[in-house]
Amino acid sequence: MQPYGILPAPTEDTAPYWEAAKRGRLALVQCQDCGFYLHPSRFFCVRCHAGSPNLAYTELSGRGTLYSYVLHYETRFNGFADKVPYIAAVIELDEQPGLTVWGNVLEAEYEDLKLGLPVEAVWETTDDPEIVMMQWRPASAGSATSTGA
Amino acid sequence: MTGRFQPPRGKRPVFIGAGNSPCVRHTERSLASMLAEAVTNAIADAGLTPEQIDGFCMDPSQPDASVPRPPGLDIVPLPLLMKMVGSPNVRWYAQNGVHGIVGSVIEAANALAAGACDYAVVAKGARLLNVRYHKIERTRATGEEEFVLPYGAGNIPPQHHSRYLAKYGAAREAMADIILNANRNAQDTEHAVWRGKVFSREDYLKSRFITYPLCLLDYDMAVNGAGAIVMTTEERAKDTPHPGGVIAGYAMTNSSLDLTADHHNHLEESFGRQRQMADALWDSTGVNKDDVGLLQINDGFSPTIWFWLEALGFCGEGEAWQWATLDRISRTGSHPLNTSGGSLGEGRLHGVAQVCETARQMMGTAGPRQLDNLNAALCQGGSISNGAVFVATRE
Repeated sequence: MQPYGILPAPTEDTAPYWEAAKRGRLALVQCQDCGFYLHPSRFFCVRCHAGSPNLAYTELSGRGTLYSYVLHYETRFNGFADKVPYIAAVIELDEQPGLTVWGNVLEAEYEDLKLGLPVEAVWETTDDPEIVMMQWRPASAGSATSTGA
Repeated sequence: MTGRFQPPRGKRPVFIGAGNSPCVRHTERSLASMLAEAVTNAIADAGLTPEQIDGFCMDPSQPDASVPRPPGLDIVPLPLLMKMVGSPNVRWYAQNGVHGIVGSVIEAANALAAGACDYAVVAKGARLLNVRYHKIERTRATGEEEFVLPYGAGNIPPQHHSRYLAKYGAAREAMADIILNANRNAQDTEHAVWRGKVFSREDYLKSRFITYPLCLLDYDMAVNGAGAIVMTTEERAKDTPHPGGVIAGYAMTNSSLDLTADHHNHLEESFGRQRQMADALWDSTGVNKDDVGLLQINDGFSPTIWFWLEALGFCGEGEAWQWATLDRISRTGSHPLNTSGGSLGEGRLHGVAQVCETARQMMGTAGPRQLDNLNAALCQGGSISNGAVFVATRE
């Protein structure tokens, strides 16, 4: 998908996500009391509502399934005008039902996608050396999550 | 069955007027002037003068808050509107920030029932900026958007629709009935942006894709315009020209149930809270859904109608695409839907079409669109997954 027209400007709260991404790893905030993953990060657990939130970034497998996917023929996003048509997808991560992330599905044609298709994270470098983007491709049977940027 | 919403005797909220400004693609006019025109028309329709209006409610929010807007041109705080209309006797007003104009109707109903005011105006409008609608030209995203915008993503309606189609084996072509219904009804609505432009089924099927599975005609047309209604209490309504429709009750979605953030909400989660809102609605109104003879449902994106029809219980889960046929939803069908065209027919005024048409149908002032023997109307507004709803009854 590179070059990216819009890049993240990490904050103190999101920095651990992007530090993990630079290593080709997916890390999300997890409630250390009840185990619930929160994405994007929050300052409290929306499931157990613990009075003293005990949250920490935890590494995930980078594997999931296609929850939904669309094909952008037009786009309102900076930097995507010359990429149409492109796939934008919602991925449900293996670790928790309903835990979803956005992404593009690379190395696939729209026609080959289907609901529930197993996908795995791939990592794309960008113009900003501090930012590596998590992207997705159909999972190859038995493969480990790719960590190659 | 008695509902939970029980105003004191004589204080049940009733519609007494409705008004619109022209609804057009391009204009030099300010939003303030279009809102003032709609409100002035609604007050005159109610047989009142601005001096008699002592209550106001409006949701001033507009879709792209990141664009600077000079007050009055395309964003209008409620006090500015009150100044434009010229109502020296205001004793209650409220600016609601969620649930749009349907939320405003609910606020006004509460105020009237509580005796906070005698005559309440509810209004809403939109004005387009001189830029491509909603275009995102930033090069950096921060906060929740860090995980969305870099992917050229974040449009939730097409994602919901894509999952709905795949999950239930639904045909996207079936949406033609929703689109044709809106377009046909718009032909009889004076201010509708699509009036005079008649679509065929073929036009829908050939409409170019914007974000597959949504095509151009699945989106409401961005427009400039405004609409307003006037409400009063049952005891005062009888002295006005054409009162009609008693607010029987209402409900809103419970967003506190969400386990995901806004950009990350998904079809199943939305459906759950929509179902809960439906339960709360029937509890509030005491109305049997089989008595509802008019459905006014938010349609900024066409699939929204399918989702809400299912959540509200008018058909089963995954069945709306086969249930919502022209035979059933047209003005002569068993479940007339968005009889003035909705947003898909009138233009993108964020629920104005639904609220004004509900009021007009209940008051008997809908002209060529008027339904006979209408006992109850349901009016829903909000986003694809959040919202509010009320039911108005004849008695």
